[in-house]
Amino acid sequence: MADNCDKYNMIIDKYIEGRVSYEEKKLLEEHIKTCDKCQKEVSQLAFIINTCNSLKSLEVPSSFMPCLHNKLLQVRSDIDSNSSSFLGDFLKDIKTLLLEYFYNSKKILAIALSVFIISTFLIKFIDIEMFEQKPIYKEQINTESNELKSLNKEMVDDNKELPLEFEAKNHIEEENLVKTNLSFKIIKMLIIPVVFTITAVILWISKNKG
Amino acid sequence: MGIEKNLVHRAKKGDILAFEELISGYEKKVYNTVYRFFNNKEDAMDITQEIFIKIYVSMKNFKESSSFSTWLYRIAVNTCIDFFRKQKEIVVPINDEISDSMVTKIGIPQRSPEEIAESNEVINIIEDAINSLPEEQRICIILRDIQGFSYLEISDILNCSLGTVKSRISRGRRILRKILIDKELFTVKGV
Repeated sequence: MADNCDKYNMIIDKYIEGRVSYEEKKLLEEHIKTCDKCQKEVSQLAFIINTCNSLKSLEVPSSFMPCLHNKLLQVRSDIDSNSSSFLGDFLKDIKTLLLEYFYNSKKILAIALSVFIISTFLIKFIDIEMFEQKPIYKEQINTESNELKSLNKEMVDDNKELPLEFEAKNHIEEENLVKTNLSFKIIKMLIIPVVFTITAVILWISKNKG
Repeated sequence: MGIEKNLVHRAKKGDILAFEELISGYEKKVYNTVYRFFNNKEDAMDITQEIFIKIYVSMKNFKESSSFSTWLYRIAVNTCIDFFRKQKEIVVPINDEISDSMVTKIGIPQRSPEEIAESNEVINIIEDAINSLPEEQRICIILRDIQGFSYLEISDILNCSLGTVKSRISRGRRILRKILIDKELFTVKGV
């Protein structure tokens, strides 16, 4: 009998919920006429489901939405503060700390200046190769300009009409070459001390921030 | 539908007012589901707030392939289960095959037949019995028999097959019946 009853299990659920087909309904109703066990099961499950359906919904407490709103605002501000990039935060920190130090302490300025001066002098002594290039370069320029001058002289000798424009052009080119060379050297000389200074300042700020 | 889509897009960008408008109407059902799951008003308030904050933070992950309500209830149910597991002091393995001795053990406290004569008392007994069900069957019974979701909606929310949902509900109801028989509720009510 129990084996027989098992096949009605799913039909009983559907029957109570009113989702049963006409054939299933007839089949179950015929069965429960003769089976006390299933008849009890149907009535007891129906009682449980009806009681569950009748359970009243609770009203949400009035403080719910205002409380949630405040929490959402907090979450929003947390998200905003976290969304700014690491680099952005770091630069912001440096800016704040630099301003703070510039206004409240002259230590950082002294350190930055000292590092800059020391590293500039050190570079002068260490980077000999860079200074050795200077005479070579000047000689090259002199040779070049001498060649140009001799060429000019030949031209003057050949043709008595001196091309003044050509001579002036040569002078400008010569000056430009020296200027480019000098600015390149200055930049090269300054890069390392500037990098040293920035590193020293960052280390000082990180140390003090920590 | 267009209004909901617009609110979803605004909420995804972090618009709190749009989010609040979007969830208005859901808070009662979520609050009641949580309350039925934990059978405690204070817990229900805290956990429901936690659920909506989780939903707000996860808005950008909402793919819009499912409906917003299904996605919302899925987060609600998962959060309930997470909280329940954290709360549980003794870890009981989740198994559909629950033994009779276990049903008796996790059943409701003993009450005399006179006490259960009151209808409020019947409701209390049933609430306690639901609360003693294993979590998977409990959530199915709450969603189906108390909140009135369809089987299909429950399978979407729980992300499991229709067959699993039907089986959990059927099994859950029979465990409830067993608990109530043991507590002589049907004898008193003449069912």
